[in-house]
Amino acid sequence: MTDTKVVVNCTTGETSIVTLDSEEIAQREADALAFSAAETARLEAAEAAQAAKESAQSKLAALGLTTEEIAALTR
Amino acid sequence: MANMIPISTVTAGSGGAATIDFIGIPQIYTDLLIKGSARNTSTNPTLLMYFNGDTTAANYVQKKLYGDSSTKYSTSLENWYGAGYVSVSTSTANTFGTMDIYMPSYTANNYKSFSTDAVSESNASIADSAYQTFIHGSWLSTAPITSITISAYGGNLAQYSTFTLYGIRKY
Repeated sequence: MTDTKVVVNCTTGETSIVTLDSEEIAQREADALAFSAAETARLEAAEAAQAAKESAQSKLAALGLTTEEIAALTR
Repeated sequence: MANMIPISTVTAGSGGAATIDFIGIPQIYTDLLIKGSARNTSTNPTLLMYFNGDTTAANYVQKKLYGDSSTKYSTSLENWYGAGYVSVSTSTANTFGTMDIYMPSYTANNYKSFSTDAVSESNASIADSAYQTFIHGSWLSTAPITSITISAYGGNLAQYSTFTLYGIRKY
């Protein structure tokens, strides 16, 4: 990843390319770690929800509901 | 009738940019508006936005409605400073997401609210590549907004990502 930022001073109109300081680099690294953890949790939750949905649909089918009836219930 | 006055435009150059920072924002308007087109160089569509250099997540709250090519989602109150989803490295080459960010009463001595409306590339069904996002949030600070930082979560703002800051005058 690039370690520079673009800064525009809205008062003077001056635009400059500035190297990130150590605090900003640490913030970016912390953000990346936080995203990784959050994304893992989101994907796990989505997979669990999909598995539960498919399980419920299978049980409904076993009870004799048609595909259309199951779709109507889960819509 | 409201007047929309362009304040500054900034574009990420060759190699992209870690962040784009608007500093020294004049305190003479009623509201602020940012219009942007952006692409995250990572596979993560998230853009981040924070005010006055405040990166303490607990100082931000927001709710988010979003959907990808197949599913819709909503989040409850989050302590987070996300600004919406744009195009990512797996999006069709040279496509950029678009977004609007509105910040009313940015000079008031109250908590600052904001709303965002963002879309990534919409002509693909690749996972994490076709999002629409609506966010409403607050920065829990009474300080006037004097700077705004936008960054790409997990990556960089790709070259040619562009943001324009406007001041809104309601008279």
